[in-house]
Amino acid sequence: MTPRIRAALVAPTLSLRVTLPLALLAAHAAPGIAQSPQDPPASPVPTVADPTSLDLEDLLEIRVITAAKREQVVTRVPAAIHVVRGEELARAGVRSIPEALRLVPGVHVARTRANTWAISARGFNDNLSNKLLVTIDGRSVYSPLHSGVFWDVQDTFVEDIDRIEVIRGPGGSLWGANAINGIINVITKPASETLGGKLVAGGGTEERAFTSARYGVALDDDAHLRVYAKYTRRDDAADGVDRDRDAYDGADSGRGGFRADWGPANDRLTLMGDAYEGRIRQRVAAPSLTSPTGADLVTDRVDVHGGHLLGRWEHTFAGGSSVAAQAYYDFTERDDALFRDAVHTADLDVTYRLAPDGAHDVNFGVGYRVQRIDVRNTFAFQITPDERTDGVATAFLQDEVTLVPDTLRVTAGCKLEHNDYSDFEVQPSLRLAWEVDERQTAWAAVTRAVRTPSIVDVDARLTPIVAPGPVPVVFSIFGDDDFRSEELLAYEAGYRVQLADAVSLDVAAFYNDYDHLRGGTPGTPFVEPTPVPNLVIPIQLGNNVEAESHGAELAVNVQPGQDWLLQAHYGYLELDVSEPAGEGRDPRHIAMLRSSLQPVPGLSLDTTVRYVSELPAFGVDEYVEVGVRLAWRDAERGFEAALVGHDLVHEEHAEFGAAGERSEIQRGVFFVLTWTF
Amino acid sequence: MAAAATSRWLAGALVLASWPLLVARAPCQAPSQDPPKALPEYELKAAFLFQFVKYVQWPKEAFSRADAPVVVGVVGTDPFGELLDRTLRDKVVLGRGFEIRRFAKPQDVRGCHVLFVPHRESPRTTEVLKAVADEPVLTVGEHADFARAGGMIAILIVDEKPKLVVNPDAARQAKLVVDAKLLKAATVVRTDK
Repeated sequence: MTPRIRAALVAPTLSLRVTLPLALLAAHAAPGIAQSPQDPPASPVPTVADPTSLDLEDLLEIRVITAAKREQVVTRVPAAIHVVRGEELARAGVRSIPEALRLVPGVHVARTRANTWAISARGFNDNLSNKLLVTIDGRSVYSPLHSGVFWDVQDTFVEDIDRIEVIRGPGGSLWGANAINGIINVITKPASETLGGKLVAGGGTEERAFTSARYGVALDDDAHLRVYAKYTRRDDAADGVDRDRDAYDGADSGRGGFRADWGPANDRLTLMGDAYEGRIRQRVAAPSLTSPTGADLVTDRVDVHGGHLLGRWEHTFAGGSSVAAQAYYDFTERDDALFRDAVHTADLDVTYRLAPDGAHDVNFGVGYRVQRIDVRNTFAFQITPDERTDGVATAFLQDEVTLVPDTLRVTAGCKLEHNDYSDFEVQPSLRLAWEVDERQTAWAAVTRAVRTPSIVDVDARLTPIVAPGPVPVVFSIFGDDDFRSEELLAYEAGYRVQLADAVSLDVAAFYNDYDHLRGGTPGTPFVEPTPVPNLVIPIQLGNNVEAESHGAELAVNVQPGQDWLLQAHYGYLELDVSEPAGEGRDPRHIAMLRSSLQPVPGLSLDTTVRYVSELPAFGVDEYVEVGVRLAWRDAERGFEAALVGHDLVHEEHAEFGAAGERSEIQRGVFFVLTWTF
Repeated sequence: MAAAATSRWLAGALVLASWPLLVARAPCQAPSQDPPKALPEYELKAAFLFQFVKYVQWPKEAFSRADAPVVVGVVGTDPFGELLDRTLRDKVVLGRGFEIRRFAKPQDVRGCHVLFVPHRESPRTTEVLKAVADEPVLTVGEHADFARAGGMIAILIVDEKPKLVVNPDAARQAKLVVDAKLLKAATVVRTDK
């Protein structure tokens, strides 16, 4: 067996850090596993009476009906995994990565402001929620400053996304630190699958204007290249307090990038990169000692820019073992009225897979990441020292053991990591998969995962509030030199079943036990003489919070006909935090209902209804929202026109954040014209 | 905040427009007025297998008799279900009928003229190809790298349309002659060394 080809099956666009771990979780693709929804339904109404009457040329013009296509191998992964395909993103009218994640069961995507999203799975959501690992084509995009993701700068040519893989729950032993509550991998298509041109243009009431263009060429038989550029203008949402006012939180951004793939499958080289620039409007209250109100209202324009270059080499040796090596450089800078940070990242990973030997499938790898972080300190946001270079070294080993062929598999793995803040971290995991029969898979897992300290946890002084007066009172949060990793011990189980040819069900349940979570303890007040005498009330960060959570996620797919797909998702979460302030920020219930229909060839109609229960901590009410996309496609001319409505139920509604810090998300409509040539 | 009134109107119209369509679709019948131009994936692939037999010439010794059937094999879990049997049953090409065989493992493969390697078997591509290496067997796969790995024809689905990738060297090595018409309709690749 050639592992490289096997890996390619598991993940047609294999990328080292992104999809290889998936491949590792997935085991041998053996006969006799659950049927996928793409398998022919029992009694299809053939749209061509006798397909053999069609000649070769006719056949090549036929559109393929694969409405419910799923990565078959996903059904065998012993984890709470969900994959959203590129076609689903297109059908749902998705224009950004955060909006795409709304299609994943159990993931809470909340739009705090027009360009700020709070995204998490299984609790602890925040604008910069810090327990997710997010990668785009194998490149980690969470910030070392606070372990959160700036979603407003994570983007690509959306039409070239092959799929988004989301694993809820910990994946520490494969993916490393921060993969504590979930892993999100965005994977774009290889250049060989995006040949030719695509022009996209559109606009509307909230998504004011967007245009993007991609062109892909074959350089020769084995070398393909694509380049793209895009521009997006997003309107302001409504102010969270005075709904008749604009929130002043819109944005303009531009981005360009490329991807090239060379060589055959057993010796492939990939090079990709992009660069972006954006301006995000915001009104912020900048704490101040001299202001009579304790804060200056600043009308700000956040300048963001960055880019990356990534190279990857995958090689299969004659003996069947394979190696994948990846290196990237990433730069990102953010210039905000309250802080500025610039992060340079260089990362190298090498993964090796032994030629599968009977019952064992062994993988191991090493990696090193070095990051230089520069911060411009302000009164509100201080990091000491303001320049630093940190390194993280990792190593992992995993063995997937087949106990009973095609029936019982056990995956044992461990990741060892060394970082400059908490030294060595060990993240082991044990997963068991039982393929009951062709239609059912059950799995269970016990995992230990950690969130290693971020710079803010250790070296920050944050001053969000100043109470004005003759001697101003300053509330400051201080980092903890001895801050240790937050820990999770997770117990999970899941079950997937193909109930009928057209009905599949996926359910996962979990119990999470968190320890040493970040919390704050009031310290002894002290007086600071400069710049004006003020009394500081310190809040000392520490690992003094514990939490427990349990919950479940359910996904059901029903395909009533070949051109109609229904999906229902539901997520339940119960989170108990020893610090009450940590509760009430996550919805107890999330649900989604989606219908994807092609009433006649060329016409498609998609409707998405989502429900999110209340967030008591913020006074955010439960809500139901609806999105609709109606599209007409002329396959011969490669032309498509779509009309998309989003957040249609309410004129405006709140999704996340304290009253003064959130915007109201507005109902919107936009059109999209796409020309493929 | 822009154009709130317009957007409210459009939004309402969209929602209203969408639901009756959904409800009306419930019995889910294929519309009959348009010429049908779509097929389920494996019905289409079965039709391709049939066409390939027309455009590929086997050496004489591949068949025991002049009217011996073309044996189409599927290795591993068969994604066609009964579609392959239904499509090829009672069909005749150049005086030959069809016979369908299914092989559980690569090493079981023998005595076929066309061998279909489903997606799920892609990891074993090398093994499968080795099993039929010296025989006049037309190998057909579904994986993007199938033809480059030494398979003869890959049927890919790109943007909902089928695409063929043919490796004529691999066919020649197995003493098969691929018609120019098939080559013209396909992307031609060579085996990766």
